[in-house]
Amino acid sequence: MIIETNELTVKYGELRALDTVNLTIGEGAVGLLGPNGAGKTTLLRTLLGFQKSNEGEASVLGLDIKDRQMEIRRRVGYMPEMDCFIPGISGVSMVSYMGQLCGMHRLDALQRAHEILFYVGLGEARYREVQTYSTGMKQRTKLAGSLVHDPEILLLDEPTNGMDPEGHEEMLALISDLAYKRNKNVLFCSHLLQDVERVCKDIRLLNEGKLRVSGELKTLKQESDNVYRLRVKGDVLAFIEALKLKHCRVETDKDDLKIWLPEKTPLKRIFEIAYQRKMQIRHLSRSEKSLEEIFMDAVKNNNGDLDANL
Amino acid sequence: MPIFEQTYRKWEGTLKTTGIRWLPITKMGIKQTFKKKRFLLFFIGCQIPFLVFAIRLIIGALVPENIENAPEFLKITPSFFAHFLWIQSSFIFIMTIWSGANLINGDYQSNALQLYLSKPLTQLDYILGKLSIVAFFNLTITVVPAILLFILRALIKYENSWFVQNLWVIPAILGLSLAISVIHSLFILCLSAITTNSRFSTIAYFIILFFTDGIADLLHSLRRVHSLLNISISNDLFSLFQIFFGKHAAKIPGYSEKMADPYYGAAILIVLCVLCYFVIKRRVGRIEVIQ
Repeated sequence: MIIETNELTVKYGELRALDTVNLTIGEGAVGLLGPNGAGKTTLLRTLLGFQKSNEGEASVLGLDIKDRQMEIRRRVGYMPEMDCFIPGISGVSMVSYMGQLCGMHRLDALQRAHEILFYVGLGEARYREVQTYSTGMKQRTKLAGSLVHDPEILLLDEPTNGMDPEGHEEMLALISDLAYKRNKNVLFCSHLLQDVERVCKDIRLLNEGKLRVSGELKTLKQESDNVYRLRVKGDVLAFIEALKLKHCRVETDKDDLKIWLPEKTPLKRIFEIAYQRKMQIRHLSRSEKSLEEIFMDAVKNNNGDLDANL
Repeated sequence: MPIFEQTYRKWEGTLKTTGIRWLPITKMGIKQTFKKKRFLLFFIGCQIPFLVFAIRLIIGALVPENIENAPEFLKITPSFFAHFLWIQSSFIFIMTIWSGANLINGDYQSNALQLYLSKPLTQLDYILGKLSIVAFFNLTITVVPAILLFILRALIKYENSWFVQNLWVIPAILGLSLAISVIHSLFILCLSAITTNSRFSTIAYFIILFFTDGIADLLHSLRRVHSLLNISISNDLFSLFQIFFGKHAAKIPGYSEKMADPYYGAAILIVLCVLCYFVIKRRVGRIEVIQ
């Protein structure tokens, strides 16, 4: 496991920012989701040793966060959420400086800074002072700073914050490239569901300091076997009535119908009813939950148990 | 020469795990400070006393010893070096402000602390890195020229007896310069850590030094109690000359007016330094954790 926590609890006074969190994060790109104040940033900060945990244990790359902080920081690249930069220096100097702070030789760090700035798309602007950069450029510089020492894991805290649509797309493309082509382990922390969905195959969802959902996105999206999505042509209202008479639950979603068949009822029943009502079935598929639905369920279901833990 | 694709490549090097982790902070700080043209001019200006003292030293070394009624200022005694450091210590005030007033609050403003502390650096590394920037500049105008003057004296007119007799001056120069530099550096870093911009830390630095000076003078003139002079931080700093140069410090022009109790002074400065360190550490720690 890349990251593991066991009953991890962090308190700010009376507030439990992280409440007995048990999570495991494996290789690849994993999304850390949650509304604002859910404890995402606190988790990242605790893993990096910025914030001391009150109870529980955690390890990163098998290293205990309590006594191996320096080694963890050497092997992890962290991109903070906030707009941060070293004032008065150029992009290339800043990234090279970040490398030197990690323990790179000055010349290695400088060479690598040039490479990484080209990679993140700041090749032409690398000699400009960082404070003159736009928000998007600063985000890219932060990404470059976290990548310069070639870390094993990248902890990205809201990496697309404040970026224009084009920059946003490019940032997501960069993160996907790092995760799937460069084999970097990425923990992508965001409240933007679409971003996480585009980059990550696994998610962990935090709310009010507790882990609510954990698992592979594909599996989490699957509903029970008896839920279907249909698009039909004909007298839709009569069709819905007929379905309800057969104890089916039906919801309309734009042009589609979402149908919950009763237990042990075969799919054939839908076709039979459609045939009786002279309906044309234009589309039929097994229904999947959207990430929004998973998110909303988890946020609403605060007192519920972990929905899935794979 | 190989032509690389401009894409992400794995880095094959190894990261240093030993050595001074805070050194890059100091190097970057020095480089950044030297970029300021006005500072560079000031830095050069700070070396003028060195040239004056060097000329004085050369003239003093060339005057035959048996000449009668030779002026006192031409004699190269330990008080010559103490006097040089005394003059340089007034430049230290400005040097400290210029190089240190925005070291920590500048990082607050740009949220740079998170960048530093997400790297393999402890809070102590960060503080030492920043402290060394100010200390470096202070030492370049004190210890470096003072030692050069000593070497110059030895080279111009090598006398074994003079050299042996005055060899203790070297550790005295080193000790005094280091003490004054570190104390000033800690003060300004502490003020930089508790203020939001360099203007406030500069004003606070002046107020603390001159306000305590004024209070000490006022109370001393009213009560005539010698130890009241120790209320002044600058008096305490000046009293360090007595600790390192002993009776020779008394020969520095104007020194007697500032003659506070040296050991009280040293104790006050030690307490203040410890306090400053804890304030800086606490502020850096707070910023690190709660944004």
